[in-house]
Amino acid sequence: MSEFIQLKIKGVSYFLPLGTGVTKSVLENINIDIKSQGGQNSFTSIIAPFGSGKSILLKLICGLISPTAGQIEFFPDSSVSQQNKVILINEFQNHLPWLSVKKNIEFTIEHSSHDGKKSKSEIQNIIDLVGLNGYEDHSPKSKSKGFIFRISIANALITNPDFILLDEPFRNFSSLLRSEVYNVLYNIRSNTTVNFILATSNILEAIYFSDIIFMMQKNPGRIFDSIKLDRSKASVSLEITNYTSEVIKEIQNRFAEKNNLEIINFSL
Amino acid sequence: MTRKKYFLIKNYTPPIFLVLLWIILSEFIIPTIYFLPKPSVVLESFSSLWNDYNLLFNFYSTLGCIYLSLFISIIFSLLLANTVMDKKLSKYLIKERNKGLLFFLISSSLILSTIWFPDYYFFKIIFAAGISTSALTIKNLRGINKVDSQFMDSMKSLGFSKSVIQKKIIPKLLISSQINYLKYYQFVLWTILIIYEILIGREGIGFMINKIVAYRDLSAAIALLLILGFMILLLNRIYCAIINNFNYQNDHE
Repeated sequence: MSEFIQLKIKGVSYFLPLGTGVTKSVLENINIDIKSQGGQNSFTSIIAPFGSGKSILLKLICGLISPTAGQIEFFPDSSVSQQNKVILINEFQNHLPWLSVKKNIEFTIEHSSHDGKKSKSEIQNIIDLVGLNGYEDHSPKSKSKGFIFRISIANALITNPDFILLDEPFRNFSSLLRSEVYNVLYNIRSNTTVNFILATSNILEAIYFSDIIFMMQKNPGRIFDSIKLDRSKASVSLEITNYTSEVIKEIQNRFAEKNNLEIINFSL
Repeated sequence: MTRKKYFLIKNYTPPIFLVLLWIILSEFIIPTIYFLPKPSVVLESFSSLWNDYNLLFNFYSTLGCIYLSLFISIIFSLLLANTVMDKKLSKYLIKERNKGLLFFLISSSLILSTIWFPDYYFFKIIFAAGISTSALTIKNLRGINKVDSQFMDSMKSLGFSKSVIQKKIIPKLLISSQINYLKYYQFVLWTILIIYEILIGREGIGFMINKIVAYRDLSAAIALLLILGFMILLLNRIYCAIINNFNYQNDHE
């Protein structure tokens, strides 16, 4: 993995064709610049109300769809296609429900076009990292969403990505399950150089993980502000600390100015 | 009372009660009852079914045809669904409003095929496999249509090619729902095939029913129905035991 990685989104707009020549502006003039240097990864969150185009923005970054206008560039190696660098994990999670943990990872290695990790020790390291040690032969059938999320993250990590995009993957998780998977994600963040972009409407999870939070309004989706966080204060605990409540207030004020406040979730 | 005992009593008390009632009524209270022969006569009819109606051969003919055609149609329907999933035809096939027309086209071509293919047993398999492949292909196409686009996005972002998704992921996703569907569909096929055998058959359970009706052999009819009921229960049990291993929770449909 490169020492210096940058994702530059320059003036990206996306119009959704509604048929009979009519289009709807979903995203307008999105500008985001994410850098990570010296083996330090970054965690970026995009907070936005439901239906503001977060998922479409992540699909654009992932290269699953193309922007109507603007550019998405990766540095230092912009020649490599976007899909080789970015893995998307959404609410449905990227795992195959009929395969065990180990077989899921092996399937990804065998069939993915990405040049990922392949050795047995690398597979085992990833299984350990996501906390599935001892569960290698367990299948996701009748397992919790947390278990499925761990497999999904393991599947993503094995492809050696530069970025993992999380599209509200914890939307339907209970608060207990959320704190469990937050710990898994925090552990991965601390022990890998993978950069994360989280699209969420949950402000607390954004504060807990992020270096920077971009705020997005809807109709059309537009980044209207951003806030940099002090990591040493933000990720101390999942409880609301003085620093967290200050940030929440700040974000609340900025969203209130845009009349999008009521749709943001402030609870864990 | 344990849970198992409770279910045993709940499930088996009504049929045992009905059989006892039948024995008491027809053997002791109303011995000349017209619509229900005596249990002793029905018992004698089992040997008559075996010898005079050639039970074993006819059962083999129907059962073999049903399960062989189901096996063929599972494979063909998966292949067909994969072939037409990206084409306009698939959208046409899954539309509710086209159901009637499809049923007419399939059934009329099968009826005409009875004239085109004179070899009876061979055609019976084609008939059953044709109906099943059509039903399962439409079911599969509906399943593919329901596979969530978010799941497909995840799979593509993992670097899986279109061919891997179509050949290795979608069929597996479909198998779970197809297996559940087959649990009910196998009995639909039983009914269709028995009706077919009654109408144009020369062998099979339907052919036996045809003969029993022609002879007005009520006790043989009841004996056959008892055997069929037992067979259905047994097959359902076996099927459930087998599919339990393949039936994973499918979050993507």
